[in-house]
Amino acid sequence: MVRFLHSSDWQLGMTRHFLGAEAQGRFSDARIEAIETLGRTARERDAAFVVVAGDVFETNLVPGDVVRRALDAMGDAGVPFYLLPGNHDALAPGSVYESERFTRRKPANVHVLGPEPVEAAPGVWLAGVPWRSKQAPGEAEFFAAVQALGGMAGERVLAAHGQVELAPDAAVTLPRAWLERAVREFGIGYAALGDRHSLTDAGVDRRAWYSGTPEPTDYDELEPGKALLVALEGGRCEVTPVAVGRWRFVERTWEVHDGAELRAAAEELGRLPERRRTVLRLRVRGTGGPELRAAIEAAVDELAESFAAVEPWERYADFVVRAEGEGWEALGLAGFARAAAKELDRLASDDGPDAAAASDALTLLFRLARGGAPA
Amino acid sequence: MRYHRVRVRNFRGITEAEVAFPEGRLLVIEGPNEAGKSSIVEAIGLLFEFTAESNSEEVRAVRPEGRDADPEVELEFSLGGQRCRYRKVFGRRGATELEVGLPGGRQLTGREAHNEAKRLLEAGVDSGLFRALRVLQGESLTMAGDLAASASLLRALDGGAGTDPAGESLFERAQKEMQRYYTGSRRQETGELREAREKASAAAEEVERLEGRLRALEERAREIEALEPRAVELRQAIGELERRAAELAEQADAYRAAQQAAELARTEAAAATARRERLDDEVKRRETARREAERLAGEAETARARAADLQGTVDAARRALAEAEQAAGAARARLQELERGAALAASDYAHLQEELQRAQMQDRLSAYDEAAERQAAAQAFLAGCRIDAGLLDQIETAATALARTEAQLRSVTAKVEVEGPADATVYVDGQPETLAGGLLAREAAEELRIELPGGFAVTVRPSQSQGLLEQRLKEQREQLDRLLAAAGAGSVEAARELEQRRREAAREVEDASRVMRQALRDLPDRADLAARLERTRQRVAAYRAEHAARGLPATLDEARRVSEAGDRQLAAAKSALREAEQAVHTARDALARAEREAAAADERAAALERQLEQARAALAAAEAERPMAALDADLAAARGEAAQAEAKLRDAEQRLRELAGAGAEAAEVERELEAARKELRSVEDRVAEARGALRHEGEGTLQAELDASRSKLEAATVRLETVERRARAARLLAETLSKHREAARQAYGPLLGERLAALGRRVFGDDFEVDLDAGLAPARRRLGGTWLHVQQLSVGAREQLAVLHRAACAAAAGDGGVPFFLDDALGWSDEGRLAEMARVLADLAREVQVVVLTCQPGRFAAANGAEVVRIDGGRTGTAGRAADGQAQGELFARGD
Repeated sequence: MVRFLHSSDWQLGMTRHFLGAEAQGRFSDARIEAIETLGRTARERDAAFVVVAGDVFETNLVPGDVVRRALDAMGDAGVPFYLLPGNHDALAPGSVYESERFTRRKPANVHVLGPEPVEAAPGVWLAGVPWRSKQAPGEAEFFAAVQALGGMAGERVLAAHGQVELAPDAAVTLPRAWLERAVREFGIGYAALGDRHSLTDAGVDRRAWYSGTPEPTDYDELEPGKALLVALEGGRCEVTPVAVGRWRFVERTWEVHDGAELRAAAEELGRLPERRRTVLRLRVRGTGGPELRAAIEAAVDELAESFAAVEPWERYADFVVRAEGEGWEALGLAGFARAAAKELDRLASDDGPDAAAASDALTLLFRLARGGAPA
Repeated sequence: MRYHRVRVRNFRGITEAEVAFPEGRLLVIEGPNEAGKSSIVEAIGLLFEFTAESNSEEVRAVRPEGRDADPEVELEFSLGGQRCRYRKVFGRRGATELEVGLPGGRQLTGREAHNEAKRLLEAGVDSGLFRALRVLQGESLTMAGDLAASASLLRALDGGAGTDPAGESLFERAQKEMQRYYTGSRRQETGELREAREKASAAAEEVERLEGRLRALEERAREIEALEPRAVELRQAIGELERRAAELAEQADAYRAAQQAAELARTEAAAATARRERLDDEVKRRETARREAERLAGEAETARARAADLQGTVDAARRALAEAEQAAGAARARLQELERGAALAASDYAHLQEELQRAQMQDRLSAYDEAAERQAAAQAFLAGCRIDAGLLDQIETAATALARTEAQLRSVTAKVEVEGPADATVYVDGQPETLAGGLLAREAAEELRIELPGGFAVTVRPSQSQGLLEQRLKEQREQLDRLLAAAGAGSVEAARELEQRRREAAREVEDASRVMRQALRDLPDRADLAARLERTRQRVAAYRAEHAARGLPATLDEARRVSEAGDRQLAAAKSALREAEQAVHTARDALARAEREAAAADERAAALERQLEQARAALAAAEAERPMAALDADLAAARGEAAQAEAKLRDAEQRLRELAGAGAEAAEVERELEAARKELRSVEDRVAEARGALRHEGEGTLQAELDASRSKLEAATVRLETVERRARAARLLAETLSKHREAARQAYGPLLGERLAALGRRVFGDDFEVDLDAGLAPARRRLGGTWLHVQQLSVGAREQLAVLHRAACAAAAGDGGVPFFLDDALGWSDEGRLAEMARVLADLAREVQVVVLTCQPGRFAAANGAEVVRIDGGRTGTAGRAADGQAQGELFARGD
């Protein structure tokens, strides 16, 4: 029996521009730490090697320090790492894998995976279908590797990168039919897939899996932060997810109509674990006076101090400011100012094109009328 | 605002005056013109507007005339629910006091008091309304304009809302807030909005620029991808071409061998042809030489015959020359003979000329001798002559003087004439004298005694002068005689003649000398002339003797004729000789020519003969060396060899042509190979360059820069969104407020209009209506169904309307209003209207403080419940003094 770890889509060197400089640094560090975690997991779980199914690097132009840290982490792990060039780091001219910053520092346990089968462990043959340009590898390339692998005696592991028919609107670059043939006709024991950031069964006899990204990169990923521990023995294939990543991308929608609701929602977020490694996107719905809105703002500002990042919530806000509340009544607006406020109130709650602006205008009116300094 | 009491001292004509304002009642202040009614109103204005120390014109103007006293104003008023006392003494050491919150309120003094009063007024009173409703004396009652600027009025007019503490200030702050993002009129982006947008677009541009670099890099990668298959293709093509080239190389060897064979054949053919050509030339040369020898023989013969011919010509020429020479000799002899004759004739002529000269010389000698004789005679006379021109002059002068003296003597000498009978005798000095003709005349040069018949005697004695004259006459006569003696002449006449003869003799000497010189001409002296003559005579004699044998010409003319005839013959003979000599010359030339030609012909013949001999010798030698027959045989052989060589060359060339195809293909393959290698090099270079660029950028910072710039763009975008939201909100708020404010404004018109109409109906009648303009001033009025513009109204009606309008405004402003003053107003109103106006004002005074100033007592009698105060002291100082320490009632008599 052989065991190995399947990971993919490290996308080292990725920048999340909404992160501040400090958060971005930690985010990048976490992705290197994920490699260390993989190495540790491999040793602990007796995995013979780690196969990374593409997009190891965010781009072929990835800076030298990122390459260096990744290679250091893999070297320190002491387990063989097999890296497959994906669409982000294709083995095209100018490829990072052919660059000096990679080749000069590459430790002996790190290998770039090509179509020629290598014996990754005794009796375990591994081959990949690397991307060689922005174009996905074609059927011929795919089967050249599969055929070569098929000619080897022992366990056969294929690494490939691309989209299988999973999402209805995704552009398919790796038809499931190819994988089915590979498994069924060429005796491929396991296909380690990359490109999807969510842990996914590609639907080929439970022998083809996307491991997902070891550290999440966006809100829409399902079960990211995992690697797959694969065990092959005879005709059997067993796949076990193991946790690797620690960061989270969390989206929340608040329904706020009064201070109590706001407090409850904020407290719920305040209880989330690993907040400093959590990127938060808030959507705020509801209605209320300008004071409530200011309270929301203050609550979000407070959360931002705790979380890795809170995305600018106004972008996603659906909070209608109304001319109401105690403070509002205390303003005692009269005459045309009162009439104007009424109109803005109507606009804000009308859901028309000026609704957001009207909410903001009411907030501003509140501040100005109270003699507060303009923002 | 409400006034309670005002006290004025030392203000214009007022020494001291005090007015208490009644609560809820109309106050009418009556007094004659310039009594100081208006000063009360003016004093209240100054109190608030100027500091106590103010040196402004307005303040200086109110100082009392002729007195050194500082104006003082004290006012008690309520404002914002507080009762205040405010006092100022205007002057260099002015004083200001303010007490807020009477009784026992805050006390303030000086500048602090002034500022606080100002602040209270600004906070509690609408300055627009304050100014609009204050009416001063002398100003015509126009409609209070631009009431729209009056916040209190607007606030008051703001239907039912009561107070609005935000009001205008909110509007202004909203405007200000909007102006942070947009420019005033054109709503263009400015400030942080513009800045944020510019930053965002700069960031976007930077990202775009870096992405451009990235795209360029990707393009490089694509270029490599595109080029590499081509490199593979080219390498393959080069392999194939090299194989084909090897195949063709063998064929090329064969071609080179054929090329060498052809070259050899070409050389052989050329050699054979050369040999054949040489032999051809040799045969041709032999034939030419032979023909040349023949030609030379012919020519030599001809030349020899010609030389013989020419020798005959030479002989004939010689004969002609001899003849010509003989003729010339004869001509020469004849000439000599003629020359001899001519010489004789010439000497004869000369001889005759000499003879003539001899005769001439003889004549000249004779003339000389004769002249010499004459000269000698004349010279002999001259030698004996003692007179000369000077002496003659002296004689003439002496003679003249003598004659003059004689004449003088005659004139003084008494003349005596005696007349008597003819023939009578008289005795003169004793000598009788007959009276011939009855007259005897005598001069009495000396005493004279005439005795007349009858015994008469007359004695005449000369005078003394006569004696003197006679003495001078004697001396002069002696002088003349001496001179004549010197001249050797007996008389003056003789002297003159003698002088004449002397001159002639001198002329004779001269003339003879001239003749003698003429005779000598150029000769020095007579001896020479005589010698010459002698010699000539001898030569002539000799010539005659010599030629006595023959007859000499008789005359010179004859001799000349003979000589001239001889000359003519001589000329003819000379001409004949020249001709003869010319003939000799010609004959000699002809001979020389003939001799030259003969010699040349001879020479040519000899030369030709030598050439002929040489040619024959050469021919013989050539023939001896290589007989013609052998030569012909050699030529035939050479021709055969050349033909053979040509044939071999043709064969070789044929072979070459056969192999040329392979050669051309080899060359083509070589070219293709070269082109393919070149392209491959180029492709490889481009790939290497692109790889280099990729490697360079890969090791560089492009990705880092791009990441950084994207982060920056994200930040700038977020910032822009935020600012845009704020800007949109500010704009929406400002515009919404502005819109509603405008709408409210439009509602004020009817509101104020309705109040005015209500008041107007009381004065003008029930059908009174009024329209206000945008500034809330009356624009037109309707009465009796007719609308009239304000300008069309009578002065009285306009004034009434103006007063009612102010009243309506004051009433409308309510608590925010200010005291309402009318100064000498409604002067144009009839009694009925005036009474109604007075009633309206009296009613109004229940809500608003109304003060009417009038110079006509009783004008506002119709005002029910009005308090009337009378100022009657006028503006003189007495009123003031009278007031000192007295109750105010004396100054202001209260009506009612």
